[in-house]
Amino acid sequence: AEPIEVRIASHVSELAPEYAQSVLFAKKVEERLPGQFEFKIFPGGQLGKESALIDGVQLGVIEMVDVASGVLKLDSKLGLFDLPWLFDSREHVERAMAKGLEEAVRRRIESKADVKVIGIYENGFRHVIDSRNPIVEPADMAGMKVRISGGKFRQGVFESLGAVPAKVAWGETFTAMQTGVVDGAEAAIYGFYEQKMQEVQKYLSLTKHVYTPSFLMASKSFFDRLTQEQQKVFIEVGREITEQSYRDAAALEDRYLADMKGSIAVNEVDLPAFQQATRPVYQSYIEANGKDWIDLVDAAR
Amino acid sequence: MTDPRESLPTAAGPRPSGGRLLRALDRLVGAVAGLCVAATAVAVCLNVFYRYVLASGLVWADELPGFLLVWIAFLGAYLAARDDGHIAFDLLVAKLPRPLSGLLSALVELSVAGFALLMVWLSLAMIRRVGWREIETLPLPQGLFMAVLPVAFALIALALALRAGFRLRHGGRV
Amino acid sequence: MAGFVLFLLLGLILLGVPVGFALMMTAAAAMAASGVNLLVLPVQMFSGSKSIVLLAIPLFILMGELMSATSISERLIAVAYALVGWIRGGLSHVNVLTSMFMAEMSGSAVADAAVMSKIFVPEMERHGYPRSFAGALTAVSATLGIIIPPSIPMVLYGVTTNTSIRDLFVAGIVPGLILGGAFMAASWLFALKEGHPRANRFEAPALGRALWRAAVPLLIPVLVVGGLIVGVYTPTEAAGIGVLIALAFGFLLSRDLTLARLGGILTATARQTAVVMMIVAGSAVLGQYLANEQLPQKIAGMLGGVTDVWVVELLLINLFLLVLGMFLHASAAIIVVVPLLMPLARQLGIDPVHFGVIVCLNLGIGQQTPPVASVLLTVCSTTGLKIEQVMAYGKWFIAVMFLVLLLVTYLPWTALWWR
Ligand code: NA
Ligand code: NA
Repeated sequence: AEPIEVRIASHVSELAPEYAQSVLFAKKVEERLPGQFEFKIFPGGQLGKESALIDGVQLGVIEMVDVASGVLKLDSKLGLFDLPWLFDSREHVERAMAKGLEEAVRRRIESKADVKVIGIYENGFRHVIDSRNPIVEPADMAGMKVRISGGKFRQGVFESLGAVPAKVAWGETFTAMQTGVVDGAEAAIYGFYEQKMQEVQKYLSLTKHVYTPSFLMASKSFFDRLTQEQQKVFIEVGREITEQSYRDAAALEDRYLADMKGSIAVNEVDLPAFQQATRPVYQSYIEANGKDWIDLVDAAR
Repeated sequence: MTDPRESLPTAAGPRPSGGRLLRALDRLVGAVAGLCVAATAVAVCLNVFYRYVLASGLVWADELPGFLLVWIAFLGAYLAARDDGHIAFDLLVAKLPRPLSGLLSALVELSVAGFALLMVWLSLAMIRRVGWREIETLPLPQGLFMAVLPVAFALIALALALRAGFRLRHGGRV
Repeated sequence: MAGFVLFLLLGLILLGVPVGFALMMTAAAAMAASGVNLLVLPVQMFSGSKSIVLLAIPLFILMGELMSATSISERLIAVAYALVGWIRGGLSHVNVLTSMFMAEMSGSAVADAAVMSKIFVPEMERHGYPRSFAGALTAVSATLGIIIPPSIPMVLYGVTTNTSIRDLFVAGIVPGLILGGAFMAASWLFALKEGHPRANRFEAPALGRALWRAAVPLLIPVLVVGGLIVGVYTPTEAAGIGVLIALAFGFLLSRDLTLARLGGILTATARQTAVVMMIVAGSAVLGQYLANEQLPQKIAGMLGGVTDVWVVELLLINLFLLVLGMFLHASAAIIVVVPLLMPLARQLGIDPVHFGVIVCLNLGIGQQTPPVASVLLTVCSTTGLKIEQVMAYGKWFIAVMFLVLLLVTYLPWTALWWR
């Protein structure tokens, strides 16, 4: 029979962990079921912006996507991942996910949207790059104009630290930094690296203020058309590659950081100080969505 | 040709008046689209004001105007369809003898109207299934902004069908 | 399949289907034929047109509309008279200089041509210039509107290629000045040959008075483009600030704006925005189909294989764009064709910002060349001149534009000096 065409689209570039994850998934499925599928990987938003990909996978116009924070808008409880300084480290993320968080998140997404969640991996911790001063403790952010993405939660975080959040289109951000429309930006390391922001900024503070997972999802209508064996392989491979995906993401981040270190000062931050300063932001989330997921995370600390 | 106004001097296509009701509809659509333009201008300026004068962010002001642009674009597309103002290559059709060119134009208008009806159906299906998802910065469903698609495509189909009908009634001489 | 798509698209356009709808319908047909779920159409139309960066387009259009609704152009003309009216062929220089002033506030050459030809063609004819010369000069100098910032084609280029619009705007300044200077030089030669008069004597007090009356209008480009360059705001915000100042000028200073008129202007802005946005939405869906088929990569590969001498390759790209500009609207050309040329430009090591200026210059020429010549046709329709009459002089000015195009192409410094 003809191989089934499977497009895996992502809104981020080939440098992002999403690309490595898509390639890895395709490779492993190919090994288990040789010749049954023809995978085509479309990074860099070739098949649309993140919101269009998330709508598209639900409507069944695309077979699979690997996307990130846009998924969090599917349900307010997923706003957990917008909470600041929720995770201490990648290891902490992995522990929490393995101890039930991943299963809970997966079920939540599938109950809300017409998708099959194949895997939850890493988009990455978000950090701040800027030209004004290194950020070590909360006071360092006062008055800093920071380009942010994401919703009101992340805005609240930066405002509560006295920063001035600004939403500048990502394509304009590099120029906005050069000209001083913003003092800095928050994003994952691969984002800074891909835009060569280390060349116009002075400080990269590893704030780890937010951790965003990546979500490898298949459209429900596509998934239902697969044979039972194929479905089983998709799900198994999706789980199998989780550990490898975290290792890949870590390796990418290390490589980019090492590359950037020649042109920019990199510093760690006083994590507990930030965690304390922003804990009040959690209250409104807990009121609306309960405390169970936060407890899961805390138990894995 | 380029850009916005290029159609102005050539926008001479027949515009069936269609009576009071249709003119009221034109005015209503024009007013809503105009209000959207005004709202985007206000939001964009407010954002600058917040950043420099109040030293704080107005994060929705970076997302909402983008969504309003969808309303501006598609409602405006109805207005442009009403007076035959969309960018088109009409040199070839204009070279044809009169009744033939009119009939061909009517045929083109009817086929675009048919496509617009298909779009009404497709965009309604889209809204039914993903319209509930909230936008990033405000607790508003994106369906609110997607809703302009079926509305505007229905209006465009109406405008084009009316003009095609007008041409056919005059035996293609317009 | 690619051949079928191209054939269908051309066929629909030649039959008179509006370009935006032709793009959408072609995409729909191609997707239906290859079994793609058509729900992708509304998804991409919606996602492709919701953009904060594209929002600069209605705001710049609104700014231009407010300019023409107030006495701003009249005051700028007075300044131009006082500055260059005394040179031989004075009115020609006033015409070009006014276009340069207007260019700083308007993003559209067609808009500029409509306003300027109504004012300058009768005026120049009264002073003994051939009507066709006046028409030709007005048409070509309107091109300055898309080279000197702000520029709507540059916004479109920036969005389609993910290039900073602010950088494109800055890069357009010097080429715009060169182009304006070249038009003046050509006019001066015509003035010598055909004996065009000076318009007035140079008088410092008159210049002072004119500058004073035009102080606020002249402040608009300083605040809009200047603020953008210095980095006070993003391009979209700059457009918003321009609207704000124009409103303040119209309501408070010149007082020729009323709320009722503003309503009409807002609606007209939405309508004009839509004309561009339908092409944006159409190309968002057709682009989706092309990406699926991985066509951009294939086409770039084909074009790239022709020759590897960059001087020749660059010339070929220019010629391709020029021919394209004869038949295609600038906005359509940018949105549909530039993504296909972009990989090739990168391969040749051309800076995307520099390439944006090259593209805009080419399409500026395209607006002057029949059969599809928006600016030329606008001038013809407002003045009653025939295409041949305008072209009698127009061809010389087009040659001047071509020389400037070559200069900017092979001296990237003209666009990128500030880097
Ligand atoms: Na301009
Ligand atoms: Na042309």
